[in-house]
Amino acid sequence: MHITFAQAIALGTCEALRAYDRAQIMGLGVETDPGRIFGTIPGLEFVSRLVEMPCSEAAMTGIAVGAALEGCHTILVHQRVEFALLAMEQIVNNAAKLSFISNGRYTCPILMRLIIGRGWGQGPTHGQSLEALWCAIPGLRVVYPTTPADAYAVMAHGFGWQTPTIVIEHRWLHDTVGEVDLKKASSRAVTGTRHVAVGDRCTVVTYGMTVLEAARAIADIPRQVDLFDLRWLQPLDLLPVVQSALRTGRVLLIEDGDKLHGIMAEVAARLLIDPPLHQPIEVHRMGPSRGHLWAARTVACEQYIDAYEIYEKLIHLDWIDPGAQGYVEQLKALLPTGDSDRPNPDFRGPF
Amino acid sequence: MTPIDLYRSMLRIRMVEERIVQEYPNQEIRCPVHLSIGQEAVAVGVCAALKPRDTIFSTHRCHAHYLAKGGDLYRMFAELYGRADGCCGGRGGSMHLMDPDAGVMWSGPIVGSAVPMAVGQAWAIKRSGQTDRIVVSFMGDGALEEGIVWESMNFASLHGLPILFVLEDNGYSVFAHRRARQYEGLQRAAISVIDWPTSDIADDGNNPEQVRLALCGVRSKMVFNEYPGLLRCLVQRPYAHVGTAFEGWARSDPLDLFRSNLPQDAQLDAMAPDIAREIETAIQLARAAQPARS
Repeated sequence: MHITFAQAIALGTCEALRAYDRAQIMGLGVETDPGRIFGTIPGLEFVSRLVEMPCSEAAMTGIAVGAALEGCHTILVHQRVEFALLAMEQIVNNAAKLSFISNGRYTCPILMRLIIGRGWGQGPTHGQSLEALWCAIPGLRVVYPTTPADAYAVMAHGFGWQTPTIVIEHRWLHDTVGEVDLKKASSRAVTGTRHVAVGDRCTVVTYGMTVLEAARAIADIPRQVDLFDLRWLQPLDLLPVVQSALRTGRVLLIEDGDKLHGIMAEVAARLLIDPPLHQPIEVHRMGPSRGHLWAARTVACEQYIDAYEIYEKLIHLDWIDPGAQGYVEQLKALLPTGDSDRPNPDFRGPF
Repeated sequence: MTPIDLYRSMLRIRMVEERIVQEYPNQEIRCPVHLSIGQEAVAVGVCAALKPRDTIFSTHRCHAHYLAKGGDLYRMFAELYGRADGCCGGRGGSMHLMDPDAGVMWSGPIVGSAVPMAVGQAWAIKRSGQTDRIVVSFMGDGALEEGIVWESMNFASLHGLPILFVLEDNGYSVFAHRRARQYEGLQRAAISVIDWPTSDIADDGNNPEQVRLALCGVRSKMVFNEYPGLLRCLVQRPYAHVGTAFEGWARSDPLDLFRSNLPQDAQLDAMAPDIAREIETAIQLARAAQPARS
């Protein structure tokens, strides 16, 4: 089945609601948004499971935790990552600690969908992803799906982990299209790091939206780059990365969010320090050092890593052979320009 | 529960905590303790009016609530001593007492933090079509200064949830008096958020029988009308916010007051030795229990 990422979320959600008859979806707009939150909310069949919420992100989270004590499963929807910050106390002290403090007596099957805005003037408080922040909280799982198949499986199986899970969802992925084998995907939970492309000259590790940029960067240079999509930021699954690193001896780590205190700092530490590999490997790291995000497109467009930059970095490191003639021009054509602040040319705003 | 039963329940809580005061300097109970001494009547009166399947959520000052609702005494002391048998397996300490089998669902020290959890359980109860089951959220006067409590009360009123907010007003948040913290209409505003017919003010939170009667009335109105309720009780806290320093009674000790109104008979005199034996057994078992291990 060829569907969009947004459709995959809706279909995965339907499967979860079918599997758990007391499961519910809570959030601002889940019942009333005519756009059904970018088309990700299931339709009529499940209207009784949609709970429109007041502007009360903190209480909403606590309510989901309390409902879990009665065996209810909840999907919480935050239309931007930053709204979830209002619920930080409930996420950290109650959701994440419910199982620990109760000595395993309670479980907390809550999926928190945090949607990242980008472009079209999203700016400093609508564009952050803050993944490193969520990963620093014990008791939470953090997943960042990048394909429709993974998005479907995360929503369909997420309750099965019985653990509060942050699902980071990039707005620009919603319209991407991919193959989802519903039968196969239904039986498969998303676990571990995904091997995106096979190559033997170097290893590239990234996650999130940047996976698409990296895949584009190496599309014309097959079998050179071993490319990985972490998918799970917490817990990390670095075994395939380590095996690849031992084979290639060269690893490029690319952060999707801000490089400072980022996920890749942890990945690098685990590759190089604890426990050290018994063979020298060269590790480089790239990512935006952006500080605050800008609303103005002339600056915002420079605050993300793109395919051309990744390609140039690999050429500069002399880790790949250049692609065919004209390839660089193709990548450059995709470079941020004044008009590249939207997910596709058809997009007309608002967000 | 008869007045004699209410008195016994209050006395038991008092004796447990006085024993903690005695034991604390030995440095074996190594967690912050927030004593409920002076506030026993609210816990006992409220829990006496609850049905066995009703549940409660509490705060850092949770000893009285836990015991009044029937939480296991041995597992409470085991928790205080950091033992594997503790009600949280040694993970929570004095501020996280819980005993789901007795309906003590959760306690937590971040002011207002457990209130939405209580609302969430009430929400799930109502959605699943259960009736005649309510959830109690105990909170102190400081909780009304937290935004999340207003968010929770709004949601509870909007959906008519079977939740009762019990506001134990001891006048102080740590060292700061309510007058320095709250606009004088704040509590009235809370009462107006919660629908009027199901709110009540038991201004004398020192008398368990009055609290019990007020709650019985509120509870039946809540269940009948499908409204949340709010019960405000004025109480006193003669001990420091945390720890075992005695600061003195502002008014009479509610235990003495209540006892003076009971018929004086031998039954009352026999209570204390009985309770003391139960407490000593629990302490001995807890001290001998396996320490918590990860």
